[in-house]
Amino acid sequence: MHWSEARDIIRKWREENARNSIELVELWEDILKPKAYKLGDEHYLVLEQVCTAAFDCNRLDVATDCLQVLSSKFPGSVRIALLQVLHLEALERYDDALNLVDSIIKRDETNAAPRKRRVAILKAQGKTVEAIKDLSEYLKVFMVDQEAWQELCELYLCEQEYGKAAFCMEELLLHNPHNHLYHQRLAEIKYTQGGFENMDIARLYFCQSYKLNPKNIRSLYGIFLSSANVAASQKCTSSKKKEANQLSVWALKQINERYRDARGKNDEALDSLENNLGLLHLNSTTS
Amino acid sequence: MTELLLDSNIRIFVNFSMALTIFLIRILRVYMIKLFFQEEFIDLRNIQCIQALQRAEALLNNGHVLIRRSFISRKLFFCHESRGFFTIYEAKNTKNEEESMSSFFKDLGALAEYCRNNLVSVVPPILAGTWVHFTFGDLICTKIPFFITQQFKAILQAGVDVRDLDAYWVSSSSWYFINHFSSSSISRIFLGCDENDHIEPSSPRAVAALFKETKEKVLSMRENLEIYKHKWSLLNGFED
Amino acid sequence: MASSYYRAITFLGLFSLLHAAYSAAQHRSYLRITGQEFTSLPSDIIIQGIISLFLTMYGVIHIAGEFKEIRATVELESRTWETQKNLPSFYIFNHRGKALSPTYMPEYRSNGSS
Repeated sequence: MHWSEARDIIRKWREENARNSIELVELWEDILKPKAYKLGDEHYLVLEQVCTAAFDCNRLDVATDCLQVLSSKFPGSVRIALLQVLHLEALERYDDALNLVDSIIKRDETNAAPRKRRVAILKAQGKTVEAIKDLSEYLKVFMVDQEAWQELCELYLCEQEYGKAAFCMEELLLHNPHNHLYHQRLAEIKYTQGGFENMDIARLYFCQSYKLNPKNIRSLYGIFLSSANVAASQKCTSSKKKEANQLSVWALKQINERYRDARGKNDEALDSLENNLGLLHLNSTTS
Repeated sequence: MTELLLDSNIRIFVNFSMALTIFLIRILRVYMIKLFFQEEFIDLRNIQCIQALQRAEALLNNGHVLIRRSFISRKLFFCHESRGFFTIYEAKNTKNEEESMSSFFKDLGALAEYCRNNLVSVVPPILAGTWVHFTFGDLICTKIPFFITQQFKAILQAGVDVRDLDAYWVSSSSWYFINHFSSSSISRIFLGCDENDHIEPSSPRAVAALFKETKEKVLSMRENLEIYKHKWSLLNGFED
Repeated sequence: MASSYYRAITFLGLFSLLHAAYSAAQHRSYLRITGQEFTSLPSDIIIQGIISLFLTMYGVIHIAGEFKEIRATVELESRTWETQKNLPSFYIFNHRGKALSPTYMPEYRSNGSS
């Protein structure tokens, strides 16, 4: 592989937040490291990325190499100090890490990154409730930080607080109304919450997600399950029941077509799928 | 009308050298500003206000993706009569403002910064303009390759007062002004930043203006939110 | 490499454009010396100018980078929750990745069989 290809792959991963840590470290060690001087200013971004990835798969030797280069280039930088916090975390010295993070926050109050790191340390220690508290405090000030909202959503899901998780997801939705994944996620949370009203909302969000991205088969399944559920509910009015039934049949047909396209016609797997979908239907109506 | 014939040496010794000098001065100014002015200090309260504004704007623009209950709870967070974020912000602000305005002129440091600001942004162009005026005087140095009306003579032929001259000739003083005003975009290409990016927020008057502006923004944002009629826009799934 | 090919085209176009401009200036000074009236440029200079302009545009378009889809949702279609859920600011490291690293030393060994 040419070094520029490796650079492009790493750049793509950096932009998409892909967490391919082992592959990233391998790419760095095998291809990019000898040619690092050719990267120009991007070199330091890559170093930071590799350093984080190396901590992720516990390759402390690689990480300390990167850290040395970076800290000799940018002494006193907050970002590098955060990498040192990561180092302490990777060594599981959480109390030291917390102390270091607190000192960084004291040094620069307006910097968002160390505050988020603090939450992550609490989470790594398993103190989810404290992490939630800390993160909510943080979000009172930095209230458009989407990453933080998403993390808060995950933390609430860990604590099974679905209503609050849904609130966080809605916040993300406000900033990314075109992202089908957020719609899908919100629908899933609502679906998990259960109850007729939530199920109906889930159905609509699944529909919106599918509309934004017709390739999203997960939301197609979601449409099917939630609308079947709505139709089976006792609170449902008859006109709505009819509509929901139609929708679930339509979604089922779409799913079938999708599998037929993918597998080719007259496949025996298709029959078993149809059977299983029938079962799913049964389950959702009985639940 | 007979064609004027310019000495081709003017191209190198006047046009080109002037453009180069102005560009170099521009670069020098950008670095002087970097030397003189530190990063602007923002406190947490300011960040909070700006972010709240952004969030309210997102709510205004994309509120239609939320169900009614979620939308109203967010709206109340911003505009509740006694506990809303913007309500509290306004109440606090009216108190603070008088103090900050009176202390502004007492603060000698702020005044010094204002002087430095002037030194960097006003003095170099004046010096360069004087240099152009005395060295090249009133000289025709180039020509625009298309016809324009007589009204442009005042702009393009500053310093040359010949009534019968066609409007498309450009005098050296005008050439200086054209270069001066266009050099900021050129320096943005070469350096990736412009001096105005630095100057604006660091002068104390601009900070005061910024502060006031956000306050006005808060007011208007609040009004917008109150007026906004929420309508859920998610469509049903029947679309085949 | 493809990009060096397009770069060559761009430089060729720019050079040809400059050449056309220089020829035009030469033509004007020639007319001035021989005392003829200027009417219009010879057609070969005009054609050269136009062709080299398009050549440069073609090259620049390919150098500038990939084009992006104008609709907002298309780029998101290929994204999955797998990458969307990753938040670099909140990575934690006490997971099984540790046990998979070549330098891993278990802290203590339970007294089970090998």
